[in-house]
Amino acid sequence: MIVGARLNLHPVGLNDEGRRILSVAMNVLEVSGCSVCCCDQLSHDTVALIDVDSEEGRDFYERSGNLHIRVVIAGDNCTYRADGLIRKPLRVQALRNLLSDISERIRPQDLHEAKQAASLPAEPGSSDGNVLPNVSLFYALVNAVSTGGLYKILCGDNPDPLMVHGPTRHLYTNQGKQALCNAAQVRSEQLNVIQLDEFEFMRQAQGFTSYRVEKVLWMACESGALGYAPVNFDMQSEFCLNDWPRFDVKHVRPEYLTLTAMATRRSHTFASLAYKTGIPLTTVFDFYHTATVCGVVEHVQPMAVTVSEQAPAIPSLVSRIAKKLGLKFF
Amino acid sequence: MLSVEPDKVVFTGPVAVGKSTAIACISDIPPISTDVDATDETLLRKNRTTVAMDYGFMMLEDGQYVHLYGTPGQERFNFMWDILVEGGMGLVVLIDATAKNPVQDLDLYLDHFSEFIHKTAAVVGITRSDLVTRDVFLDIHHRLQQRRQKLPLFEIDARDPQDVKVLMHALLAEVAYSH
Repeated sequence: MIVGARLNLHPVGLNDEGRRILSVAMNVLEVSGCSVCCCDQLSHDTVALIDVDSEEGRDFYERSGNLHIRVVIAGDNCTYRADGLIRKPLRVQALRNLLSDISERIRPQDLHEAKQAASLPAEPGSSDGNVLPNVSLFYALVNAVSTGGLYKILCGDNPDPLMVHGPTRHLYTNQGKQALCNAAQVRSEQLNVIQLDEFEFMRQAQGFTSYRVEKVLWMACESGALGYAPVNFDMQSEFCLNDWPRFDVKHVRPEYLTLTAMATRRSHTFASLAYKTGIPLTTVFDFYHTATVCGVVEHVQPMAVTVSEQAPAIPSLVSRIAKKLGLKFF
Repeated sequence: MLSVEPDKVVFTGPVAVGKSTAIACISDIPPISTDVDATDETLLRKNRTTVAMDYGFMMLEDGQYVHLYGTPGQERFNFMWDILVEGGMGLVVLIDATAKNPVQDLDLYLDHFSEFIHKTAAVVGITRSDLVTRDVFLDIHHRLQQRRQKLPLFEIDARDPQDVKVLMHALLAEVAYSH
């Protein structure tokens, strides 16, 4: 994968399922640092993604000649010549791999525009005091808990710090709930995160009110989770939840309820969760971070047998009840 | 044999936990209650109590009704519990954090409805958790783990429609993906 590469796609003849798979594959490429967009206009570096099993696709293939890069999606008995061929059934991984190969072939010169998206804040340890990259309160909390560190977080002009005790997953502060909500919305450049030792932490946090980190995390994830991929991001890795996280009903994202219901039943890859629910991959990443902090994520070995990527059919009554209640159901 | 799609959600839990209130939050009509004056220990918690059921409904776009039933809280009316869950699609268990023994209450309902929960889905809502200093959520969560039941668990205010909707959302997600 060339980080920073740019890929223009022109899908032709894809059905709804094909478009959903394409959408997930594009998300995967995006978080891996490749910029992908769908366009109506064809140019010499546009990749035409053609489902030749559709009339529209066949027609386009015959008219397009060799002017564009062509990737053909077809069943078993394909006789079409193209720059890339994907056999049906279409899979996210196959599409992602092929598009990744093509992105390397066509735009290696764009390396300098590399997008540094696919990583969480690095391990703390710098000597200037500001040890965590300022990404948002959400990631500061995620990192504090996952690294087991003790941090003092200053948000914007507010002189009252948030003291995060990673090992016990508690946050100490003088601020009320409303102030915490405001802190969750402070943007990255206004956050200052300082690592403390145990003695200094206890001294500064003395007399503060304690909250469970999960409580603040839900507020923070409302506005501060930006869809970063986990460290050592691997699309093949599977995870499941060993329990429901401690959601805060006032702040939980509705997508998380669906993702939890699925992930507590069996393990999934990030892409399969995104595909089966129609929830953006970036939201799945946020969900993963939050569930990790809540201590309910379990990593499992990928299954040897490929499980069907068929999206489960939501019972009609469930969808209609959700609609009646004004719930956004995935 | 006639097969009917389950179209009923049942709310259960001890006396005065907020079942009627929760149903009122999402019902299209003010819930129909079978309340009578309390004469027993229920008086300690409220003046009137449900003896048969609470009933409300939601009418969907296509005119289909989804029935919302609240079970009577007192254990001596538990013959009604099994009747009410027949044809149910899921169970909402409400537990009062201020009760003498919330964990024991949880056990009572999960044991009684175990077969129904196994076949369908359930969520647990803890009410009045803001009125106690003890973290009842942890107690209940611990008990669920001991029972090896991965049920959605939330602290809610039964008077707040948004909270009840989150419970319903989790229940629907459980129903949708339980196959």
